[in-house]
Amino acid sequence: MGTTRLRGKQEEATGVVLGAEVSAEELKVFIEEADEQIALLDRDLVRLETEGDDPELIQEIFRATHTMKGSSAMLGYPRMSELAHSMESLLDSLRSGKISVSAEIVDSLLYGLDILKVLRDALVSPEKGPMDIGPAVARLESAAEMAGSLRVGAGDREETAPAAARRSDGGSGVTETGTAATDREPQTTSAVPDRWTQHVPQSVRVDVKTLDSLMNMVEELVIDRSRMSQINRVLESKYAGDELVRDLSQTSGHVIKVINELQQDIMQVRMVPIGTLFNSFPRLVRDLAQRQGKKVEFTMEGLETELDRSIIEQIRDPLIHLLRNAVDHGVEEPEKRVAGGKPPIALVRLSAFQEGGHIVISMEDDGKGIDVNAVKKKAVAKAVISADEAARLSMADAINLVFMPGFSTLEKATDVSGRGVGLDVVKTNIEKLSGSVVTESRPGEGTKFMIVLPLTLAVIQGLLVAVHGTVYVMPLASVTETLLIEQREVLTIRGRNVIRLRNNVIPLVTLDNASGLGKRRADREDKCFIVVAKDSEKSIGVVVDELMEQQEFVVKPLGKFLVDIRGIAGATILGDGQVGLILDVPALIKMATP
Amino acid sequence: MVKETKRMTEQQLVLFDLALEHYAIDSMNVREIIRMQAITKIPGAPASVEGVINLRGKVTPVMDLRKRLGLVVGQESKETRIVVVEVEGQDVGLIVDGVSEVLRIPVSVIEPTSTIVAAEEADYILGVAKLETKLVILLDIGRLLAGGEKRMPLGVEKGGSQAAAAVPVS
Repeated sequence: MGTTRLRGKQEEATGVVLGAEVSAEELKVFIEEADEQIALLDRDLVRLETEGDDPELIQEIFRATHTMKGSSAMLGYPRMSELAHSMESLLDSLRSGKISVSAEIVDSLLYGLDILKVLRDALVSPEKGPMDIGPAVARLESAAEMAGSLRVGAGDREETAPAAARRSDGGSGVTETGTAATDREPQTTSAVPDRWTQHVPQSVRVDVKTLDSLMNMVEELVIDRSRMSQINRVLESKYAGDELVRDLSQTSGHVIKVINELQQDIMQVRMVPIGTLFNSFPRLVRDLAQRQGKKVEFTMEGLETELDRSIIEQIRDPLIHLLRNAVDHGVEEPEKRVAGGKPPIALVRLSAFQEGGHIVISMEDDGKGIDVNAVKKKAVAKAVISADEAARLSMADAINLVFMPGFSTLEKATDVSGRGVGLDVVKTNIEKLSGSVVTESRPGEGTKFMIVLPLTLAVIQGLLVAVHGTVYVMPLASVTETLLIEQREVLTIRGRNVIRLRNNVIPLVTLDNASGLGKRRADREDKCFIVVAKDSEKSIGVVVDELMEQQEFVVKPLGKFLVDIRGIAGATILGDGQVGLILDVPALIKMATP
Repeated sequence: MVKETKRMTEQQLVLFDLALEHYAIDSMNVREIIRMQAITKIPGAPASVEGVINLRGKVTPVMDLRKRLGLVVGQESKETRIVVVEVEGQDVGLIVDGVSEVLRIPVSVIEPTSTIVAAEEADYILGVAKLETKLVILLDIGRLLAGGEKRMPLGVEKGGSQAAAAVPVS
């Protein structure tokens, strides 16, 4: 970013256009910036369609387009800047009130944006060949002409030399220089030198790889931190009163404190507002609804909610799947809605918020809801469950059938909601992120999906437990309580061990099933500890020999030779250098509750 | 170029013992050889997987090569070692009864497998090296680990050879 800005300044100062020779670094910075503006436009253009002539919104769109124009011209991409210029001209007329927002205008702007995306992609993979921007420019112009008394003269369009383009709307309220630096500032300052000093960047762009490698190093430190406190404790008890030992423990105490802070900061750096993901959705919903002749009002809330980068990446596909599902299966056609006594425009609401150590994403529609009987019938027909089982299912359990593998309620697969890939993939993917989905649905009133996700996957709060000498970590997020019970409190139901906890019957899980990890210790035969853990619906009790400490653990994968170990989510290095296994609570619950 | 020709005619091997037999793998695959250490067992893992160890901060799976090859599993001794190999970018530890030597042998002394071992074993056995004092079985460690370990618990199903056959010969 720094280089681009500097160029802008140089350019302005000397009046010379730099271009043609674009270094790889400059291109990267440009692409990043372009992606930001494209994402912003994607979101705002759809808003423009619904909100109409909102001056602030138009100004924001104008600014984004303008930034695209400026920076593409600066790097010598005339087609991009020409197209952006056409969009900008149209927006300028909107802004000055010469014309007002119409469907055709939004469509032409979206069309222009699509071509901009193609041009942007062509920069990354040049083999795609040249893209003709003529039709897009023509469409933008005709939209403007149709809308009113706009003059978009040929001369105006040809004026695509960057410097000229920049000068062309000097009085527009957005200054032409340092587009990247000033475009986030709603007001512009008058004197150029002032702006120079004011806008020293307060943030820097960092390569994701650098961030990941920083994170790895911090993880190593976190492991050493646990080891260090352990050694400290031993030293202090062994050489109590020794001055050197005291000095050492003071120093290491400080190192530990710094590591803690470092870890927190790095974690913070990895957090990304969920808006970066959500911003592409309005366009998606709009296009989907349009294609199916449905009317949808799509609203988003909590865009500033922050989530770990890695989770944002992995939650994208499940969310798109659910959105498509909502528009395709949930929302009815306008006529059907009116016939059902609902307003013709359906509501789809996506919101994100933080709740304790979790992020909750909820997606709601006011469509037709899930038809429980149709779901049951389908499940029986597809042999997912037997007719007997179907009859006994509760409402909530029946709704959850839609998440079973190989299930899809719509008779024919559409190109919208996928083919063969069902909601089970959504559920699996979310559970892979240690998250869960809860579904609520009322026939005729709509469906609501609540996705609960951890803030981060890299580090978890866990409770250390020991079973037959092996140390396990229970993710604290799923632990509800721990109990010390006597053997006689363990009851059996059809051969399964259970306990009664207040009003609930909770199945017990032991961790020594498959590999025969030695025998239970005799002295504990009469009493044992139970860690009660739960996911969104069910609880289990995990039988353990010992409850140890509670601390933060760095999650490490078991590696690709040990995938699909049921019940184990990963591993961690413990304070004494041994490997501890992190339990996969949702999987354990599945194993315990058929 | 010189190196290339050498590799064509000679092969450097790491020799180790398993249940009184002699085995070897290409030294190119071997990252390091470490002493036996405490292994964290994993419930539900395939029988030949002993567990995981902490290898300088990396969680590394460890497999008992004797179990994987269907040999008699003896007592752990002073000689027991973990040979850490790299397969498909992932480190895996292999428990062996003892590492005897690292040896450069001419390719010409390696007998192809077809005449000696059964078909399904031939997938992960490259050949038998006839040395002066002993016969050494050459393992293709990549295929041995790929042929089943990722797909199904080992030693349970006989499908291992089929899975391995799907791997293109490099």
